Parts: sequence; structure tokens; C-alpha cells
Amino acid sequence: MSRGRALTAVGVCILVALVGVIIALAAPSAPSAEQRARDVAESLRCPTCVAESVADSQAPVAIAMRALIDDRVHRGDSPDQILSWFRRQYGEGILLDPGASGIGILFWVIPVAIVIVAALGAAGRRRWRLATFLGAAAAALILIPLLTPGESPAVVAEEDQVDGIDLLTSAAEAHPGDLDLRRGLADALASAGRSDEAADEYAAAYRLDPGDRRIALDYAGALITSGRADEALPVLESAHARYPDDAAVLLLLGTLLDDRGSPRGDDLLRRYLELEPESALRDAVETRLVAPGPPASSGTESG
Amino acid sequence: MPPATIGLTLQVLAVASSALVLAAAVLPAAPRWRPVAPVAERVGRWAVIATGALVFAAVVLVEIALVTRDERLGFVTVVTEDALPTFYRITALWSAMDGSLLLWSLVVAIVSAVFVARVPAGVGRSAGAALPIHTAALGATLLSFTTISLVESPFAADAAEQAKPSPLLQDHPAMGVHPPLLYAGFACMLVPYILSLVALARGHLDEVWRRSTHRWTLVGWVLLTVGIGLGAWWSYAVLGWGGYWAWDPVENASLLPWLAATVVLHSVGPRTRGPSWRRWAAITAGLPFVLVLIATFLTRSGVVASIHAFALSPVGGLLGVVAALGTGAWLILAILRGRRLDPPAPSAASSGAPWTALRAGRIALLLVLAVVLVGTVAPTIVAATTGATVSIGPPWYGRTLAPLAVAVLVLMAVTPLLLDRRGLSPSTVAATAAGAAAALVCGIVVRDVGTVVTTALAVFVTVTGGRRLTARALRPTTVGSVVAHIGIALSAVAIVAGGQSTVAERTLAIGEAARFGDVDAVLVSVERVDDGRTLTARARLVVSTDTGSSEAAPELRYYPDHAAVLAGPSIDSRLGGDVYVSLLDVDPDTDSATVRIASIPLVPWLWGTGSLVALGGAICLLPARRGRTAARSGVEEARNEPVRAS
Repeated sequence: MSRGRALTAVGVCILVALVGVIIALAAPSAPSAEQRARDVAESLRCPTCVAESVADSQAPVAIAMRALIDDRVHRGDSPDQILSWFRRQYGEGILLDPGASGIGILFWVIPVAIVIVAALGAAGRRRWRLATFLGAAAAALILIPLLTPGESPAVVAEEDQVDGIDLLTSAAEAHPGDLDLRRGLADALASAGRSDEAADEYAAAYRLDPGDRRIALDYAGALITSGRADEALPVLESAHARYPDDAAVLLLLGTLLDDRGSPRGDDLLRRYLELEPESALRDAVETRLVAPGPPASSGTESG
Repeated sequence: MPPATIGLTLQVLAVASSALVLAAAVLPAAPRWRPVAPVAERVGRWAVIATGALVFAAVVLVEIALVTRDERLGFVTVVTEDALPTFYRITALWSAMDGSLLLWSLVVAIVSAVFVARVPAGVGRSAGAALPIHTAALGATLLSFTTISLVESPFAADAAEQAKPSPLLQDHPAMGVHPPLLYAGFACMLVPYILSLVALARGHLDEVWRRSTHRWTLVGWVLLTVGIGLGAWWSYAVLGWGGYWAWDPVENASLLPWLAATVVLHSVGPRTRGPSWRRWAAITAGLPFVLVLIATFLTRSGVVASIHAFALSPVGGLLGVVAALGTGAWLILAILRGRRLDPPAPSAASSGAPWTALRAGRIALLLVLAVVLVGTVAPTIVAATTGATVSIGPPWYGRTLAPLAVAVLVLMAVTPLLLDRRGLSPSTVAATAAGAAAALVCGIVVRDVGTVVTTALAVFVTVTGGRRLTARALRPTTVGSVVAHIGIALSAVAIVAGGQSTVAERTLAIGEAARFGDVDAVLVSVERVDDGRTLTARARLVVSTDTGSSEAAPELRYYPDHAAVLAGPSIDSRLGGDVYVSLLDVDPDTDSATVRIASIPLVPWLWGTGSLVALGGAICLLPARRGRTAARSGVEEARNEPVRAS
């Protein structure tokens, strides 16, 4: 390859690389509100820590400051506005990158001065123009952030709904014997109002650990909510056998039996009142005990 | 005899023995003592070795007491507790100020002894004067550090003095070996420092000097690289804040000598000596250890606030004096005598692109060093002189160092090719094309300028480096430098890309899901375990990204005895990066957990590329094969170094 051709080839390559740089520079990705808040928090020193930014610290002050930053970002304040607010409140020392005013200007000038002095000193007389040019270029690069105007505030709404149920379903399918995953999935289904499916998942969890009080209760609760109270009875009976003095089991089982006119329901509810004399449900339970048979609005409170 | 008495006796003897080294070097300068000079020199050498042996014995004594938990030694009860495993008992030596100073004097004494044992008699003798400079400098250094370690002796520690060692230091094996590696690396820089003083004082240096400086600097540089890397990895894996470098003054203190050592390697390396290498080499060889002295003073005296600092102590003043003397001696010699090492008048062969590029590279590295030094020291100086508080943190370093780092990378990519004097070979054009293609792809996919630039350069460096490795009869230094340079270039990509992380913090109830930036996560369960020594809260989450879903189990460990909380982040490393999950808080009443999830691109690469850098340095230490290779290398050296013959 001749020298001329090689030079042309390298030139073309450099042009291609520049296109890559320009594409990256032209990226229209406006930072999300969350990213914006994080950038601000990263530029602030946690006042009560050593060498930690507000973004990384778990100190109470830092947590409070993060909340404040979130707030202001969502109100539409620009990062510069928020930073200068903090500087007014806490002084120059709160900024991890000192602003170009007051004593902070030193930290803009010193690096530039170091670069220029080194460039001038190193090059000797013959090449001083080149050296000054390089020095000036490096200095300009360091100073660029000072000259670029602050980004215009733009609030980006982003409350992406994530389907945790899908995530948990696939995880639970991958590990069918995992109690925590089953229970997590069932909880998620129950709070989404899909109590029928929740009941099935609780059933799976219940099979894995029939002795777990919480699973038994949640399982029964889901069965009752989805209108399958009869299936809930044996679950509660076995929980009652295991935890005879558990208030929540007493209440739930007592109510169910009472609904079915069984006198044992009353016994269980009385036992419940003995155990929980301060219960908020006391009045409702007492009404039930006085009036035989199911009242108009039968409670299916799961305790 | 109680161990404290034996230990203090050993330390006093070590001080006396290092005083003898100094005396043996200085006394023969007086005309009255001149006749005993040969004897004095031998006495000096043996006294250096004796000092090493005495300090070693003292360290062994403390270690035995630590491992057997001998409570007669106050230090042992201060830094260990019953439940501590043996490994952490051994490493407990350097978990407090007094022990770490003893370890520091040990590594300095060992390096001194090895150095003395390898130097032929009379090498350090300055022309015209009878003063063996290197023995004098060794003696002064040993005397300083044995004295400091005696003033703050672990054998005199008061059992009720301090709190227990931080559980932070007992959580990860990397923390055990990170400090001694750094200390050893720092201590190795003592030899180039002393050689620098000798060369400046004598106004002359030769091939033996060059080899010795190169080797010691290289050993120290490899140790520092590994030490710094382990520290960064530990910080990332244990602290739970999702970063590995906080620009804390003590972290900078380890980076400064590393940068200076890199400059030295590029001043005395077999290929990198330019026409004026003598002056560069003689002056810069002293810089790493001067920075070690300054950094030791800054970080161990409590002058600069740092997470790594121990409590304030009386040795601060002493460290300041030692740093001032050590820096002063080097600085004065460099200013007064540096010019004497000028090369002969530059000939046509001595100027030219390769040497200009090399010099520019060294200067760029020194600029990085200067900027880091300013950022580390200036806030303290500003506070002391004006009373104003200024904080210098990651954003400042990022903004200021980025252009310089690009300059370093560009020069690193180009200079080896210029040194090969191949001109624009087809392989170079091909490498440029590969770099350009990488830039284009990266620009479209990642859309971050820093990543585009570093990736293009890294591809270029890797391709041209790979091309150099295909040559026949390679020397270890060639292979090593190519490997180290590729490691640096790829590390730069990993570091810059890592800056593109997304971080979010959410409080989740069990079964609740949320989006954390690029990551979806759902909280599965929360549990708490009390094992007597620690109280652990553990959350289980299912996290899912574009590349698949997995489980995370971050922890929060509370040590009631220390009133300390330690994060146990859960790190899921994938090819493209880490999903870094840390547990911030658990609410037992509502069964909810506050979780922070960071998605950090390319970090897992950094541990591999960082190892490449250290590996490259280690390869350079391998002996060159005899025969054809040696003959070739002779030719190569002659070609690369037009003005060496003098």
C-alpha cells in the first residue's frame, strides 16, 4: 500500500469514527426525572459523612436531601437551580464540584494552569505553537462544562407499571418447590384482586408447608373472598388444631361456623373475645353472639 | 519475660541498628574516620540486614500473640475478639495505627536488606566524596520508620485505648491482603528513590542503575496494581454503594505513587528511553517514594479527613518531618543537579515523532498526577489558609481528568507504532478501520461520547497489540507491555461504560413489583436471623432485565457489639454488566423492604482487565531467554537508543 493510499484510508477511518461520535453527541435521550435527581445527588456531599455523596449515603440527612431533590425535580427545577439552592443553604462545601465563583474558582483555574504551564514548559522554543495549541485545547475541554448552559427543565412522567405477577409466575414455574416464590405470587395475585388464582397459589404453598400459620390464614382468606368458603373450613380446622389459641384463626373459623349455624362457632368467637378483649371487631362479634344465626352482612374479615 | 518487654527491646535494638547504618555511612566522610571507610561500609550493610531481622522478629512476636490471643499484650485485646477466625487474627496486625506502622517498617526494612544484599560494594560512592549515599539514605529512612514505629508501638498499647476493630475489615479476605500488598509496593519505591538521589548526586548513571531502577519500580508497580485492584473490588463487593472508587484521599494516596511509577517505567524501560532519558529517569525515579512519604503524612496524621484514616496520634508531627526531609532532599538535588544529567547535544536521531510522543505521554501522566494531587491536598490547604470549606469529589475529578485521560489513551495507542518505525503499515490501517467501525457501532448503540472514544481506542490498541504479539522471538518486556496496555485500554472502556449505570431506590411490600431503571424487580420475602454475633435482615427478590431474570438476596448485617451496620449487596454478574442489589432497610411491621438496584454496565470486565494490567507487569519481570533473542534484543536496543553509548 502506498503512503498516499494508506493516509487516505486512515483519513476515511477517522471520518467514520467522527460520525460515530456525532451520532452519540446528537443522542436525543433526555435524562429521566429519576436520573436527573440522581445526577444532582451525586454532585452533593453528604454533610454528615466522610467521602460520600448524597446519592450513595444512607445517612438520615442524605435520605432527606434525596427526597428534597426528587421533589424539586418533579416541580420542574433545573439541576443548576437545585444545586445553587443547596449551596445557599449549606455553603460552598456542599458541592463536590465547586462552582466557578468565590474560592471554588481556584479549582477551575488550577487544572487549566497546570496544563498550560506544562505545555509551554515541555515543548521548548521550536514547537511552542503546537504545544500552546494542545494546551489550549485541553484547557478548553476542561472548561466546557462551565460554558455549556444548564439543561432546560423538563419533567418526564414515568410511573411505569411493572407486572410483578408475570415475573413471579415465571420464577415460580422455574422453581415449583419454592415456598417464598409461591407465597409472593399468591400475595401479588390477592392484592391485584385476583383472589381465585391467589387461592390456587396459596393452595400450592399450603401443600408445601401446611403448618405455616400465615399461609393457612391467607389461603383461607383467599378461598372465602372468591366464594369458596366450604373449602376454607378444613384449612382453618387444621390450623385451629395446630394453634388452638390463635386469635385470627378463632375469629375466622368461628365466623364461618357461626354462618353455618354451628354452636361451636359461638364458643370459638367467645374464646376470641377472651384473647382479644381490646379487639376493634368486639362490637361486631358481640352482635353476632347475641343474635343467633347469620346477620345480614356476614363478616368475612380475615383478621 | 512478658512479650511487651521483649518486643520493645527488639524495637529499641532496631532503632539502634538503623542509627548504626546511618553512622557507618556518614562518619567516614570526616577526614579523621576516612581510614575505616571499608570497614564502615561492611558494618553498614550488616546493620541494614540486622535491622530487617529485628523488625521481623518483632512482627513475629505480635503475630504469635495475636494468633494465641495472648492477653498480656494490650494490642491483642484491642484489635481481636474471641470469635475472630485465625485469618483475621493474623491480619488484625494492620487493622490499627500502631500495628500498621510496624508492618510498614517491616516492609521498608525487608526492601532495604534485599537491596543492600544485591548491590556490589562501592556502587553508591559519590565521585570525590567518601560518602556512600545509598547507605546514608537507607539509614535515614530506616531510622525514621523504626523510630516512628517505636513511638507508636503495639507493644505499648493500652488495652482500654480503642474500640474493637471494625467488622468491615473482617468481612472479606481481600481486605486482609490489600494493605500489605500496597505497603510492599510503596516500600519497593524506596529503592528507585535512593537510586535517584545517588544518580543526581553523582551526576552520572549507567546500565546497572537503569536495570535496577526499572526492576524495582516494576515490582512495586505490579504490587500496587494488584493492591489497588483488590481494594476497589472489595469496596464494590462489600460496601453496597455500587462503586469501587470514591476519590477518597487515601485511595488517591495509593494512586499517586502508581501514576508516578508508570512515568518512571516509561522513562527507564528498554524501549521507552528517549534521547534525554537520563534526566527524566534520574528525577522521576525519586517521585513515587516522595509521594508515598507525602501521602503517609497526609493520611496517617489526621491532617486530611478520610474514611481510611485512623485516629489522630502523636506520630503525625514525626511523619511530617520525615516527609519534609525526604521530599526536600530529592527536590534540592533535582533542582541543583538535574541539569548535569543532560544528554549530549541532540542529534538528528534523537529528535523525532516517537520521542516526542513518549515525552508527551509522560507529561500527560504527570498532569493526571498533578490534578489528583491538587484535588487531594488543595481542600485542606484552602481550609487551613482561608477557613473556607471546599469539597472535591467524583464530579470534579471526572470533568478535569477526562481530557487528560483521553490524551494518555491516544498517546498510548499511537506511541508503540511510532517506536516500531513501520510507517503506515497495512496492519495499522486495518486497526484504524476496526477502531472506526467500533466507534460507529458504539455511537449508534450506546450513544455516549466517552464510551465511543474509549471503545474505538481500545479496539485499536488491542488489534495493534495483537499484531505485535505475532512477531517471532518475542521478549518478555514486549509481551508484558502489550498485555498491560491492552488491559489499560479495556479497563478504560469498562470504567467509562460503568458511568452509564442506572440506579433507583424503592420501598416494596412483599409481592409488590416496581421498575428500577432498566431492571424490574419484585420482593418475594423478608427474613431476619440473629446468630448471636450479628443480626441479619435478608430480602429475596426476583429481578429481571432484557437478558433474563434471576434471584437476588441482599442482606443488611448489624453488629450489635460494634453498633455497626454492614451491607451485603447481591451482585448478579452478566456479560454486559452487573445487576447490583442492596438492601437499605427492612420494616418489620409492614414486611416491606427498601431496596436499591443499580444496573452497572461492564463492571465485571474491570476485574479481568485490571488483572491483565498486573499480569502484563509481571510478564515484564520474566528473564529474557538467552541466545537468538538476546542478540536480537541487543540490536533492538541499539536501534531504539541512539545516544546510549557514553
